[in-house]
Amino acid sequence: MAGPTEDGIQRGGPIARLLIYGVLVLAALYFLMPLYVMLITSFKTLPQISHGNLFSLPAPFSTGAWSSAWSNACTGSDCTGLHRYFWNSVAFTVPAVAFSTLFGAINGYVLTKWRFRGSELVFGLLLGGTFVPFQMFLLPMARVLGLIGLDNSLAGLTLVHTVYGIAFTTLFCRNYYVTIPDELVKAARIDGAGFIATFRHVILPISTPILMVCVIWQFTQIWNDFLFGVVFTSGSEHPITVALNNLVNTSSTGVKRYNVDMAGAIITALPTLVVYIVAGRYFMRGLTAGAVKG
Amino acid sequence: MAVLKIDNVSKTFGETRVLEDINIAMAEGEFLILVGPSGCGKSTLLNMIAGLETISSGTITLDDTPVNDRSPRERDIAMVFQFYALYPNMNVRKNIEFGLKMRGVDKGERAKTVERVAKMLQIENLLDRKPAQLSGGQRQRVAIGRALARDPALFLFDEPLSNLDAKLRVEMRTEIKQLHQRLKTAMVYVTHDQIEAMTLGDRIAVMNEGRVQQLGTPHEIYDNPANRYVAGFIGSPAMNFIECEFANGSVRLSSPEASLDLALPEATADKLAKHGQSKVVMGVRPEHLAPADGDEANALACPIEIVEPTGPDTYLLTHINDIEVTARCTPSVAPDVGTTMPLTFDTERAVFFDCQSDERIA
Ligand SMILES: Nc1ncnc2c1ncn2[C@@H]1O[C@H](COP(=O)(O)OP(=O)(O)OP(=O)(O)O)[C@@H](O)[C@H]1O
Ligand SMILES: [Mg+2]
Repeated sequence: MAGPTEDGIQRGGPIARLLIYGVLVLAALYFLMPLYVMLITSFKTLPQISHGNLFSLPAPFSTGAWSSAWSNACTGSDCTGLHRYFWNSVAFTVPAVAFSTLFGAINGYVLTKWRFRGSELVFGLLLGGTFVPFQMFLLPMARVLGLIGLDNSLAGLTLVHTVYGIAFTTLFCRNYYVTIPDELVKAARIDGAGFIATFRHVILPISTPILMVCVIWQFTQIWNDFLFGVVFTSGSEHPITVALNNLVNTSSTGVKRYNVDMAGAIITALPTLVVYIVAGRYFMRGLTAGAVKG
Repeated sequence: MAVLKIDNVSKTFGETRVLEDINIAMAEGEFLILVGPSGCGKSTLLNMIAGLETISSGTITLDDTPVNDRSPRERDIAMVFQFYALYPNMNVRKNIEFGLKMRGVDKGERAKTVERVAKMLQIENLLDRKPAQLSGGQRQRVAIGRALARDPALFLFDEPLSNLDAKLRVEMRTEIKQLHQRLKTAMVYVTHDQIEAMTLGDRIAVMNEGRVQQLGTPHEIYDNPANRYVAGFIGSPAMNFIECEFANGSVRLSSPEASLDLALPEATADKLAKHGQSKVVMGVRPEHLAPADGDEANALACPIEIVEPTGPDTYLLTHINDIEVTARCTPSVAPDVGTTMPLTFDTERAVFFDCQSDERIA
C-alpha cells in the first residue's frame, strides 16, 4: 500500500522506492562527477592529462601538482603558490565570522528580548540589508575604508565582511530568539541578572544550533567571496579566491597546467568543506529548531 | 506595616489603557489573589510589582519604600511563572541557585540553601536533572524552589498551576497553601480560576477591564458582591440574574406556569425604594433557590426543563421572567424532567443590581 504511514518510514512499494533511490543516486553522481574529475586530475602529471582519458585514474600517482599549487605556482608575477593567500583568507575570515556571529547574536537578543521604541524599524532596515547586492556596497565602502585608513588591508576586509554579514546573522538569531519564551528572560531579571549576565548565562548556552548556522553561513560567504577581495585588497593582501583566479589565468610557459589548477581549486574549497562537516549536523538542527521548552 | 502598597497605579501601552487607578495595600503574611478574565491586566500588574514593566502613573511601595525606579534585582521579590521558565541549559540545582549566584552569595551558602529548599519541596532526587527530564508538576516545583531560595519579602505567582492537569492542579494548590502557612511570607497570586481564588486567598481582588472591581475576603466577595460583574464571576454554577419589577416591597416573578409577588425583607425593600427605579436585577445563587419543603406561600411553581446531577448536588434548570435560571437541590429530592416544582427564594441572601449600571443597590 502506498502513502505515508504514521512512523513515516514506509513511503511506498518496493518499485516506487527503487525509483526514488535510483533518481537520488543519479543526482549524487551528477554532482560528484566534477569533484571526482578534479581530484584525479590533480594527482596526474601533465603528459597523462594531455594523452589520457578524462576519467581514468592517475598512474603514476603524483602529488607534484599539489606542492606546486601550494608553494611555487605563479599567480601573476609572483611565483610562491597559494599558501600565503590561504593564510590571508584565514586571517580575515576567522575574525569576520566571529564578530559578525557575535554581533548578530547580540542584535537578535536585543531585538527580541529588550525591545525599544523603533526596534521593529531597526529590524526592518537590517532585513533590507540582506537584499543589498555586493555591487551596491562597493563604492561607499571603498570611500569609508579610505577615510578610516583601512583601505587595501586585511583589517579593512574583515570590517567589510563583518558589516555585510551582520544583516544575515541578526536575521538568523532574531528568528531563533523569538521562539525562546520571554518568561525566561524575565525570570533571569528577577534572579538579579542584568543585560549581559542574562545573555551569557541564559541565552548563549541555548544558542548553539543557531550560532552554528551563522558560522557555516558566514564562513562560506566570506571565504568564497571574490568581489570584495579583489576590490578592497591588492597584491600580497589578496584572499585565496583572487589568488586562485590569478593562478588559473597565469601561464608563463603557454601550457595550461590543469593538475595545478585543480589542486589549487581543491585547496581553496577545502576549508568550507571542513567547516560544513564539523558543524553541519548543527546546521539542519538550527534551521529547524523550535521553541526551547522547559 | 504594608508589605506592598499600590497607590493610584495606571498603565498604558501607547494609546491603550490597560490598568486604571489600582489601589491595593497588603499586610504582612497576607495571601492576595488577583483574579479576572483573560486580558484584564493581571499579569501586567504583577510585572509592574516585580519591576518587569514600567509604571505609567502612581506609586508602588514595597516595605514602605517606593520602588517605581528600582530594577527587579533591587526589589526583594521572587516570581513563579506560568510556563515554569526554568533555564533549559542548567540542571535543577543550578536553576535554584542562579539567583543567589547573581547576587554574589558564596558557594557554601548556596549549597546549604539548595539543600533546604529541595528538602522542603521534596525534589532532592531531581537536583542533577535538566528541566527537559522533568514532568510538568516537577518543573513547577523546581520553579517554586527557585523562588524560595531567595527568601524574599514577597512572592509573586503568575498562574503557576494553569499549565498542569486537573488532578495535579488540585494537589499543588494544597501544597502552595501549606507552603504559605509554613513560610508566612506575603504572596500575590494571579489566577483566572475562581475556585483557586476562593480556596487560596486571604483576600481577593476581582479585576475586569483594567480595574479592581472589588477587593475583599472570599466571604465578602461571595456574599456581598459589589456589582453584577463580581457576582457573576465568582461562584459556580454562576449566580442567576433575574430582571424584575419592584413595587410595594416585593418583586414580581413569573414562571411559564405561575406568578408570584415575592416579598422582600424590610431593609432590602427600603434600599430599593430609595433607589427609586422599578426595574431591577435580582441576583440569586443556585443554592438560594431550592425546592420548597412543604407548601410554602413564597414559592413559585416552575416546570423543570433540565436536571443535572453532579454527585453531591443536583442542578435544576427552568425559566423565570424568561431568563434561564439554575436551582440547587439534594439528589434525593430531585424531580424528573417535565414535572412542575415549587421553588423558594432565600430573600435574605438575594442581592439587587441597577439595570443599567450593574452596580449593587441592595
Ligand atoms: N507589551 C504590550 N503592548 C501592548 N499591549 C499589551 C502589552 N502587554 C499586554 N498588553 C495588553 O494588556 C492587556 C492586559 O494584558 P495581561 O497580560 O496583563 O492580561 P492578563 O490579565 O494577564 O491575561 P491572561 O489571563 O490571559 O494572562 C491585554 O489586553 C494585552 O493585550
Ligand atoms: Mg497573564
